[in-house]
Amino acid sequence: MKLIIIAYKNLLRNTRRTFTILLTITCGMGALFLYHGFNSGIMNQYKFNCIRSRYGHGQINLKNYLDQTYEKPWEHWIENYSEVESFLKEQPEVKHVFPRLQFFALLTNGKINVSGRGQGIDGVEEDKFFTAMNVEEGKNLSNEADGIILGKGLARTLNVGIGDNVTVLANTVYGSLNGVDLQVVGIFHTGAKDFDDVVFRLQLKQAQILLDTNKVESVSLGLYKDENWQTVSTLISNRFKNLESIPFEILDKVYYKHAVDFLKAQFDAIKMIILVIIILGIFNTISTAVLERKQEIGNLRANGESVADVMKLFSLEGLLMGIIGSLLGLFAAWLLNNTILMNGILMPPSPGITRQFHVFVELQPGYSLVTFALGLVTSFIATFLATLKVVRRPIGELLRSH
Amino acid sequence: MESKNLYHCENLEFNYFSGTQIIPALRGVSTEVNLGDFVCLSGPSGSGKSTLLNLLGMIEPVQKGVMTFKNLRISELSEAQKNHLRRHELGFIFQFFHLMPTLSAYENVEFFLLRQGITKLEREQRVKQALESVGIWDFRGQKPLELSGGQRQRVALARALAKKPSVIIADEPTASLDQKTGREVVDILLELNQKQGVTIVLASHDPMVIERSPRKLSLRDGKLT
Repeated sequence: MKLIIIAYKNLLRNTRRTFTILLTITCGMGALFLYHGFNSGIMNQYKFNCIRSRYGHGQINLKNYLDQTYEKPWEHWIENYSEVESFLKEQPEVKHVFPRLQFFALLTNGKINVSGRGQGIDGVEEDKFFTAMNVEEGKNLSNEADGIILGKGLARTLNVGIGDNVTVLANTVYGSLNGVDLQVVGIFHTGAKDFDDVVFRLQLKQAQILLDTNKVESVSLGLYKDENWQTVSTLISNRFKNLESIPFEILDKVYYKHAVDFLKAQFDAIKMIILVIIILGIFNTISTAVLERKQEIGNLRANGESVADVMKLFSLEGLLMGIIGSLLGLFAAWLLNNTILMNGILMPPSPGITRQFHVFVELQPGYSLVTFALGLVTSFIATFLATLKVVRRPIGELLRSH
Repeated sequence: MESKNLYHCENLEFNYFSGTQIIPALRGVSTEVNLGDFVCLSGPSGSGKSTLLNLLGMIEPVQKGVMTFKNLRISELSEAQKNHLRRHELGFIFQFFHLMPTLSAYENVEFFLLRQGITKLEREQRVKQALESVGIWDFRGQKPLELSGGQRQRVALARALAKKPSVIIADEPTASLDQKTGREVVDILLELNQKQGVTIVLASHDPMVIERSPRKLSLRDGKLT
């Protein structure tokens, strides 16, 4: 205990030296903690953007539906949707249910005919949840029973604007031709030209009338919490043996999973570089501080303190500086995050997203322990190695040094 | 009956090494120090007095020749044994005091006693006795930076004394002090030697110290003259 008190008092002895070491550890550990929080923020924001761009938290289909291409896909759509919907809406984890179906159709304004890909959706529900659609003119599809929104390229080819009528022609599931007359309520772009040139959206009911079916192709889900997916997925599998539920990160593997893996590898590499710089900085500062104390070490050794005794005293100092510096670093990171960074950092559009977005530094309580331990261990090892190098020198040489 | 002989040195040689250069510091020094002696090693700079003092203090290794301390051959002792002797048998006083600035005078004196594992009660007695014997008990709560040079050297002296060593090794104990304070320190050393029988070996080039020392060993070019 006495040794700890002496070690603590030694820290107060040379305030410039202690301040320099503490500043190095504080800045290093604070920066590392903030950087980790920034990474988490980016990843979570990107995840949020991806979930809200297309698939929600995941999608339900008939088993193996996505693995194959069918001549008559509607034969493999979900028949008992109302039962599925009732079940899903009963689950406390589920916030939104998005029934969908896709089909190919011919659109005409009376003069020009263009083929396109239609998506029948629940306009009201999807409008509340999905954010990737950039509406250029008009509005997003919501509760307009006979409304249609068109991709920018598709609208340009058809030469239609808001309020114009468009007829959608398609084959019913029984093979006969059918059509519905709809009114353009919005024109959108997503940034993907091949999508914007062909896709249009209409209410699910209209699509079902057009195709003469009450089936849905898929059901996407919006959950209250991201981490609830596995629970919901298990519940669905247990209840409906013929259905499968696939999370968005698998469905959106090329954009999301690969982007996340790519970013994570980059962040890890940068983190390693930061870590090396921090560790070298701490080592350098502490080594210099120990070298300044050669005479003191000589005095201790001359008075019978063994190499181990001196190591113990100095290592304790290193440990104390590690504790104080790491705690200050964590506090500094928290303070910065709640002052200068409280409004987030404006970032350019991420892959698959067309808009700038704010990233909030999400400090991870779990990582604070890692940061704390890292500061502690680095300071301790740096002090240990620097002291070991000095303490083994001849006592006479240590006492003569200046 | 306990032998009066403390140190026995025979043909001690010591070299410093600077790269490939060998700098001889001692060339065949032979001498003895007995319990109760007050010995002053004198000589000009580079004569080898500090080197001999360091050998006696076991802070430099015996390179050549024989040196015994209480009949123990130093070159045959392990590092742990030498640590033990330095901790329990030797007290050191340095030119620049080497006190711990964050500790009070009392704590500085107590520090090495604590490391010796001495009980609290005995520590208190020894610290009090040591600080009183050098006349600085009233300043026990002061930190080194709050004390004058002479007072600091007295604390260093008390620190050495409190260990109840067989010998006090003092390297230029008055070099950082003015003449009056230096004289006071020597007065204390002489008093400790004469009244308490403390063996003292010091190195100095201060004529006042040399003149007042009962036994003088003069060195020149690494040899006793």
